[in-house]
Amino acid sequence: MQAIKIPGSDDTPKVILDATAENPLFEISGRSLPEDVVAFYDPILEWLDEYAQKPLKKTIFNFKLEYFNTASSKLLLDILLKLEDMHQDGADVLVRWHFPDDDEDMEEAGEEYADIVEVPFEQVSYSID
Amino acid sequence: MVTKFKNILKICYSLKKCKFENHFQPKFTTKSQYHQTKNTVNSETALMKVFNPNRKNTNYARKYILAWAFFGLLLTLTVWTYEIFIKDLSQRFNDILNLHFNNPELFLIDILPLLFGFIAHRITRNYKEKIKNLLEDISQKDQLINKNTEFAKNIGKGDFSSLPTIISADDTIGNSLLLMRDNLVANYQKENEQNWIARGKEIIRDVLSHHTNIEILAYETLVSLINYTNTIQGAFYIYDDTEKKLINIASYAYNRKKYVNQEFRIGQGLVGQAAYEKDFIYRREIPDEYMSISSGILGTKKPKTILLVPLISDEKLQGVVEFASLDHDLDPPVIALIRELGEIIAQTLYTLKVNTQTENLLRESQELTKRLQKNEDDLRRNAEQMQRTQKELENSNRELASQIAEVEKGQNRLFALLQNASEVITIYDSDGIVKYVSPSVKSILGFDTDEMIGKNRFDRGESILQDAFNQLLREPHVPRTFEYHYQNKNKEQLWLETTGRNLLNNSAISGILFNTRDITVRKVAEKAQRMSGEMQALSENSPDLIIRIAPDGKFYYANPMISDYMGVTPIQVIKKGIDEININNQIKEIFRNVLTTVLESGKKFDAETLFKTDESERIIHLNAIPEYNKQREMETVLFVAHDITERKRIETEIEEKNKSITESINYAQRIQTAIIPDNDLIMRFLPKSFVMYKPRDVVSGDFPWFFENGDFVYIAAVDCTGHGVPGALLSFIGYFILNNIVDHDNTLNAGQILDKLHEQVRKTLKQDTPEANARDGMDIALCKINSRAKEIHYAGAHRPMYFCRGNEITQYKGDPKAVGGIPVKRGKKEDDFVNYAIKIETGDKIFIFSDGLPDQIGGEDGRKYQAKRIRDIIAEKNELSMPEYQEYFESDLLNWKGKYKQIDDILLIGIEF
Repeated sequence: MQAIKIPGSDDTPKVILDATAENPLFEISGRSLPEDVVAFYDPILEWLDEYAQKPLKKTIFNFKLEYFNTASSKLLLDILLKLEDMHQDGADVLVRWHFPDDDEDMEEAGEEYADIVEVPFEQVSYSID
Repeated sequence: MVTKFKNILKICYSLKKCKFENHFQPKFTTKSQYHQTKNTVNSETALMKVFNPNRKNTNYARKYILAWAFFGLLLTLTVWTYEIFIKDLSQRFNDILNLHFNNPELFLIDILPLLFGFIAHRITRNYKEKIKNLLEDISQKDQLINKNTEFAKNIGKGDFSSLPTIISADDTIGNSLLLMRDNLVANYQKENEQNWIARGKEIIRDVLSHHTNIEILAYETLVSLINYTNTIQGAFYIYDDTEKKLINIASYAYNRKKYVNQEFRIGQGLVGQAAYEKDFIYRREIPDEYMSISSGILGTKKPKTILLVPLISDEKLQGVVEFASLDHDLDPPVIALIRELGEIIAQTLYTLKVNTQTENLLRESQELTKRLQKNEDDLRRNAEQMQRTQKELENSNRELASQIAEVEKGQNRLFALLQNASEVITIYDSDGIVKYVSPSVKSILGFDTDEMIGKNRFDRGESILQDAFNQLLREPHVPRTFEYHYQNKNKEQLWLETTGRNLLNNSAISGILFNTRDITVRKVAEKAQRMSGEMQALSENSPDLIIRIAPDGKFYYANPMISDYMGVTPIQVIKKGIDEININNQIKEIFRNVLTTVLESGKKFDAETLFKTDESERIIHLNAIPEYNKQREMETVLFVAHDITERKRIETEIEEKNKSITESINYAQRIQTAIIPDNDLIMRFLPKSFVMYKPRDVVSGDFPWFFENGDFVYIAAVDCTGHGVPGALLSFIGYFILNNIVDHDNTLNAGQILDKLHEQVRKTLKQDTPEANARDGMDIALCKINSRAKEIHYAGAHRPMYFCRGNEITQYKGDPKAVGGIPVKRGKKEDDFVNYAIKIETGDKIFIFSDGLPDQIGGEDGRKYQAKRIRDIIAEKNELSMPEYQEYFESDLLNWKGKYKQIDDILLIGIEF
């Protein structure tokens, strides 16, 4: 399975989805306010659909976002819903939601998502300096 | 009489005073002062004489007594006469007697002349005594002054021995004169001593200048000094620099020389000590046992004093002189003289020493010359014999040298040939070890021959050499030639061509011979030619027009595209001037102008221009590049014309489309402005409020919403999904639905309004069907204000409200769900929006806002503005009025944003009740 590696920019997050590496990595980090949200997230959702067919024994999905706009929030929810599906299909899935320790918006967003989706969800704060 | 006496007293007093004053100037330091004082004393004496005569004084006293007695008699007679006249008595003696008996007091008057005379006598005698005492005093002083004058006169004459007999302590002048005498005597003595010393120096200088032999000089110096100073013995030691010893070279005792050549080391004995301390030693007590060590000149008779003086010149010890005397003490001038002479003698000794040395050297060199002369003769004889032998040798050598030179020349020629050859010749043995390499390897490959010989050069990775070598071994009769790329020792890339021959059977070579040539220049030329060929092909097939024009305007080259662009073939233009060819005048003009520009500036030029032909008109991007030869002269100008007509057309089209889009968006903005509440309207109902509204683009997804219905005022900060045009479209949906809800029913609380809004948005956007996929919707913070009841209702979808009372902030977070969009919790019933009812007081403030402000990137590290910053500002600046809050937030946002762009629409509403 081809890995997805998108470097981050001012408007788009950095995305790494690599199931074949020695240390598999599933991560979305940075800022998400793409001009066309659907175009940006479609390949990611497709990749997850394919991955869901044959997931690894353990999938740890990391969100480490500084900012995302309202449109992105819907797509992030879509990603989480896919993970929820995988979890309900019996895969071992853990979502790690990283947020800057001084950013209540990101913390609350994490709480909100955790409330909506039925998937093991870990909130992890980190400090920025 | 009385006045005269008073005068005398006055004079005496003034004299005394004068002497008293003299006390204070008693010392005569100069002769003239002395004379002055003497004159003063003389004039005093003269004054005294005027008032002195005794006899005259006695006459005055007698007259004085008689006068007073006479006056007493006259007074008696007068009284008598008066009485006679009064009593009218006759001139008789009896009458007078009767008168006395009648007036008994007249007896008293009769005694008057006697009484007067007696009183006058008493007074006179008192004065006389006093004057006598004074005169005695004066004469005594006079005598003293005369005596002192005499004394001073003698001193003036130079007779210092005369002495005033007795000088009393209060004789100031006398004492001063005595002091002066003593000083003069001391000076005279000192002068005598100086003269004596000077004379002594003169004598010794004379002695020193008359002798050059150091021993004679020492002895004569001793004799002269002993005679002059009345000492009895003397010794002269000179310091030997090399031995570090003091050697006695002369001594004098009772006119006999003795103890010559006695030696002392520095510090040894008195002599050595004087030398060590570099100072004179003067002793008046000479211990017996010390004598024999210290002094070499003391015989049977023991002297009383001894003086040792080191001879030092320029800090250097030259010797010591020693003198002994039978006197108990040497006169200080004697010591001074000898000490002063020390340096003079030392200087003379030093000069003498140098002279002696020079003399010795001269003598030695003379002897040496003599000896050398003798040796020279012997040598000359030997040399003549040797010369003969050498000539024979030289002849045979020359022959040998010419033979060697011949051989060397041949070798050098070969070496030079090999070194400067353009080929490297290498000979390998059958194992691939270099046996020989020609010196030219240095100039071509950069290696020294020593680096190559004895080594297997193939191990440097030149596999092509190895292959050729193996082939030559396999097929000895076939020579091999091959070309390859090579990096020499100086890291230069070379092209080499090597020809290999197997000459193992050739007895002179017996190896594999490689001839290697540097063919880099040829290769580069070949490449250049190939490249130019490729270039030619490129330009021939280029869709662009390529032309080369010489500075004189003649066409050098034109590719086939010229027919397309100008309607002429290459053959028609080549070697012709611009003016000679048949093309459109407008194109000619362009070429002429561009050529002139490039020729003048010498630089590349490019421009967009229009090419018109009979059939077409096209926009051309024309590049003109000057081409230089090696002499930096401009040879040709290359013109490349690229047809950009199509591109220009598309550009223009895009520009037009863009313009129309912008126009339509601008128009949309005008429409959107209509739904944004008028500030005046808001101010009418909420006089203390502000709306800070900053769309990211022309139209906005955020919008402030305001509605008024009866007792109620509704205000909301609405943030539709997205921004720009899609956001704006959603904002209209939100606006109309909200208006509709509150217009129909003003009893709904804020939470209920949001529930209705949610439902209707989903219905409008058709999100309530199962297959719906839209996630569009809006976040909102809504307040329903009842000013009369002093109450507000708040409900929020993802958007909070900050309620501020004093400096305390209460945060109402709003519900964690949006308005619109399909339900996010699949299969679960959604919760209704929560309504918060809050009682308000005057001075309470509320703030509602979209996420544009807290999410704005900025600051030093590109961080988010954060909701916390908004709360902090509200709390910390709680003394600000609403317009001041707006001003503060706007400038703070501007500072925060800095170089970052605005990422979303920004909306912040503040209200104070």
